[in-house]
Amino acid sequence: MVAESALLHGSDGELAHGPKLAHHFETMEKQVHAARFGVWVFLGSESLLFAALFGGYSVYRTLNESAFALCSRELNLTMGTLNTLLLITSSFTVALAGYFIHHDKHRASAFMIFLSILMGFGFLIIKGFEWTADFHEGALPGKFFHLEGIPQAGGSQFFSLYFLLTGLHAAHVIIGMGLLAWAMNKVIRRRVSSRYDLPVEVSGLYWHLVDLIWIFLYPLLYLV
Amino acid sequence: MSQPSNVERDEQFLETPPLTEVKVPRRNYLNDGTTVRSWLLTLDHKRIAIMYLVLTMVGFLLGGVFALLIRIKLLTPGPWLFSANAYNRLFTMHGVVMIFLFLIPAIPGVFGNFLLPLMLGAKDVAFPKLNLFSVYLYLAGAALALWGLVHGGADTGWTFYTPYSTTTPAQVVPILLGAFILGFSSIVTGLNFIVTVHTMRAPGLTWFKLPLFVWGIYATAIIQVIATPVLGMVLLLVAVERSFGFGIFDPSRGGDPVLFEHLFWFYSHPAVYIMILPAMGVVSEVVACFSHNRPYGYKVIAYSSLGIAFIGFLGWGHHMFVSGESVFIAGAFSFLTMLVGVFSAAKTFSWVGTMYKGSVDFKTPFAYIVGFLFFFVFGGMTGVAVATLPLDVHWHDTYFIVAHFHFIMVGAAVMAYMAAVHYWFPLMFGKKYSERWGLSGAFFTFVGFVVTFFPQFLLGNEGMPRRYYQYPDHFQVLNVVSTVGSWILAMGVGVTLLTLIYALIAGEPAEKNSWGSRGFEWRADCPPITHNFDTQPVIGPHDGPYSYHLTHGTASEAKHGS
Amino acid sequence: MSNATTAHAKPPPAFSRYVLVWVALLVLTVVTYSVAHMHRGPFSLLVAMLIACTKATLVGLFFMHLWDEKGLNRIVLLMAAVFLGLMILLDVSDVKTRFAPALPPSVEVPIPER
Repeated sequence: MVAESALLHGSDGELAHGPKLAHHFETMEKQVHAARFGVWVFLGSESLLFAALFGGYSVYRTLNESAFALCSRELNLTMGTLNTLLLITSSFTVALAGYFIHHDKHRASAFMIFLSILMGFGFLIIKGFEWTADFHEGALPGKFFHLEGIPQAGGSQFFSLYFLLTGLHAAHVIIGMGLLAWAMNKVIRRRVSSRYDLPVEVSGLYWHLVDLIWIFLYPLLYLV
Repeated sequence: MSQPSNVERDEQFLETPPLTEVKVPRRNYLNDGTTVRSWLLTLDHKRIAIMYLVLTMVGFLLGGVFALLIRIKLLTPGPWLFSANAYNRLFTMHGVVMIFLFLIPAIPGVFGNFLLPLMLGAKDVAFPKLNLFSVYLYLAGAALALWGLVHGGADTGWTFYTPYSTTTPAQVVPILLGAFILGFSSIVTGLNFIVTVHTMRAPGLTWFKLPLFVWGIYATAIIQVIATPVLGMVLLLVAVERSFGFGIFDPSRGGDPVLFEHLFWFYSHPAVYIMILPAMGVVSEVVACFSHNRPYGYKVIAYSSLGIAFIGFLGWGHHMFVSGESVFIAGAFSFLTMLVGVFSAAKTFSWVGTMYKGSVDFKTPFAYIVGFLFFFVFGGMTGVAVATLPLDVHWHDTYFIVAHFHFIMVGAAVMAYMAAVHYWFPLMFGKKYSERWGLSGAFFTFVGFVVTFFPQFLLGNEGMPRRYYQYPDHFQVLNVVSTVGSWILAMGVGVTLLTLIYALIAGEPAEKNSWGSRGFEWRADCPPITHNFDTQPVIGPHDGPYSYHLTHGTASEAKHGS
Repeated sequence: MSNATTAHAKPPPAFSRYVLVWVALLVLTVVTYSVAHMHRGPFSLLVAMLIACTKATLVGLFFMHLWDEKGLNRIVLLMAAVFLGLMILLDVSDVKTRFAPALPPSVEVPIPER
C-alpha cells in the first residue's frame, strides 16, 4: 500500500496529546513500533554491559568458592532482601503506571510512577548504608580488603566484583529514576494517553531491566 | 499517482541517457543549506555519512603515518631514529587508530549511513538524531584518545594486556576512555541500522529482495550491539584497576590476566567480523554491477553473513593459545574458529560464480574487488592455518600473524573500502573521477600491498617476533623489502586520494546511474535530494536489486541502448 | 500494515494479572531466601539461578509485555542471554581444565552454614 503523500510530508501527523509524526515514517504506528523495537535492542545491549562483570564473577567464584561464600555472609542479608522486595514492588508500580495510562487515568498513573521513583530512592539509601558499613568493616575491593578469616585473594576479588556490580547497577537505577521522572512529567502534562504512551513504556522497560539485573545480583552476591 | 508498470520501469534502464547537457541537479543534499550549522546539526543520513567519510579518512591517514614511521625504523636491525619506548607507542597507536577510528566505523558509518535508506526506499534511518549523536560520540572518543596520544600515548599494544597495561606509567587511561566512548558510537550506529532494516523497508521489499550490502550491514550491526558493550566494560575495568588498585587482573590479589584476555577477545574477535562483513557487502554489490549478473548464490551470501556473525562469537580463544589457557579449551576454540571459513569460502565461490558468464566491465571498483578476492583468499587460508593449534604455537606473536591480519584488514577490507568509494562516488558527489588515474592508484596500491606484507609471512615463519624494536641481522633484507613496499603502498593511496579530490573539485558531472547498475540506490538522483525520493518507491513482484537478467547483450549495450 | 495510529490494538491486560505476578515474585524471593538457608550443596547455585530465571521470565513476559507482543522483541534479551551463557561457559571451562600452576593463587577454607 502506498502511504498518503500528506503523511509523507509529515504535516498531518499531529496527535492531540502526542508528538509530531517524523518525516521519515509513514504512520505514527510505524514510528512507535520502531521506537519500541529500538528500546529493546538498547536493553539487550545494556544487559551485555554487565556481561563482562558476570563473566569475571563466574571465573573467580569457580576459583574461590569458599572465600566467596564467606564474603557473602559478611553482606547484610536483611538489607539485600529488602532491596530486592523494594525493586520488585517498584517494577509492579511501574507496570501499573502503564496499566492506568491505557485507561487514561493520568493521576493514578503519575502517582504509580512517583511511588516507583520513591522506591528507587529507598533502594539507593539502603545501598548507601550497606556500603558505609562495608567501608568501616574493611569489606573493600582490591588492596583495601582486610576482613579477618577470609582468604585475601578470594575476598579481594569478591568485593571488587561486589562494588563494581552494585555500583554499575546503582548508576542504572539513577538513570532509570531520571527516565521515570521525565515520563511522570509527560503524564502530568497530559502529553501521553491511551493512544500514545511511548514515554511511559520506554522508561518502564528500562526500569524493568534494572529490576531484572538485580534479580540475578541478589542470589549471586547475597546467597552464595 | 500512477506507477509505471514493471516492464516500463525496467526499460528505463535500457533507455539511452542523455550524453550531452548533463548537469548536477540543482537542489541536492549537498547544496541544500550551506551554512556550517546546517552541516553540524544535520539530521540527513547522507550528510552524516560525508562527515564520517572525512573523519575516518583522517583516522586512516594518521594510522598510516604511524605505520610508515614503524616501517622506516625497521629498515635497520638496531636502535635508530627514535627510542624503543617511542616505538612501542607508535605500534600501539597505529593499532588503536586504525581499528577504532577507521576499520570499525568506516564502511558502516560512511556507506551504511549513506546507502541504507536509499537501498530500502526510505527517507532516512530510523533514528536520525541518534545518528547525529553517534558522530559526536565518535568525535569525543577520538579527541580523548588523541589527547592521550599527544601526552605520550599508550605503549601496551592495542590489545592492552594486563598486567602491563595496569602498571605501565604511560597515558593509558585517556585512550581506554576514548575507546569506551567510540564503542558507544558503534553501538548506537548498530542499533539504528537494525531497527531501520526491520521497520523501514519499502512496500514490497521482502527480506530476500534486499541488496546483499544491507545483509552485510545488518549482520555487522548485530555484532556491534552485542559485542561492543563487553569491550567497553573490560576497558573500563583496566582503567579502574589503574586508578583505584582493585586488582581484578592482578595475580598477587587472586586476579587472572587470562581472564582479561577472555573478556577482551570476546569483543575483539567478533570485531574483525565487524570490519570484514560490510566489506563483503560491498564486494557483493560491485561484483554484481560490474559483471552485469545476478549474484550466483544470493541466499548463500545472505545466510553466510548471519553465519559469520554468529560463528564469529565462538572462536575468541584462538588469540590465547599460548597465553596459558587450558589446552582442552584451546583445542575447542581451534575447531570452532575454522567453522567460519566455511561461510567465507561459500561467499567467495558465489562471488566468482557471479562473474562467470557475466559481462565484465573492468573499471576501478572492479579492479579493487579483484584485489580483494585474491588477498582475501590468501588471508583467509592463512587464517585457517593459524587457527590450527600446533601451528600457531610456532607462529603466534610473529610476523606471520601480522601478515595474516593485514592481508584481511588491508588486502581485503581496505580494498573493499576503496572499491566502495570509487563505485558510489558518482552517487555521493555527482562527479566522475578519471578512470586512468583511478586504475593507476589501484595498481600501485596492490603492488605496494604485496611487497609490504608478503615478506612478512616469510619473516614470521622464520621466527621474527612482532612488536619488537630490534631484530637479528639476518632478518634485515626482508624488512627492507617490506618497508619499500610501504612506500609504494603510500604512493598508491596518495594517487587515489589526489584523483578523488581532483574529481571533487574539477571532475566531470556524472549522469544518473553512470555504471548502469540495477541497485535500488541508483534510482535516486546523483547526488540525491535531501529526502531521497519524491514519491515512496514501491517494489513490484518482479523487481529486485539485481535484475540484470532483463538486459540483452553486453554492458555497453545496456548502458547506451543497442 | 494497517493505518491505525493506536499503539496497542488489543485490550490492555487485566489489573489482576499484574497483582498475581507481583505476588509470585515476592513468593519466589522468599523461596530463594529460604533455600539458601537450607543445606548448602553442589546444586545451590543451580537452584538459585533457576529461581532467578523464573522471576526474570515473569518480569519479562508480563511486566514488559512480551507475552502480548509479536515475536521480534522476545528474542532480543534471549539472544543477549545466549551470548552471555556462551562466554561464561567457555571461561569457566578454561579455568576448570587449565594446567594448575597457570591459575591465580586461591585458598580453600571450610564453608560454614548460614
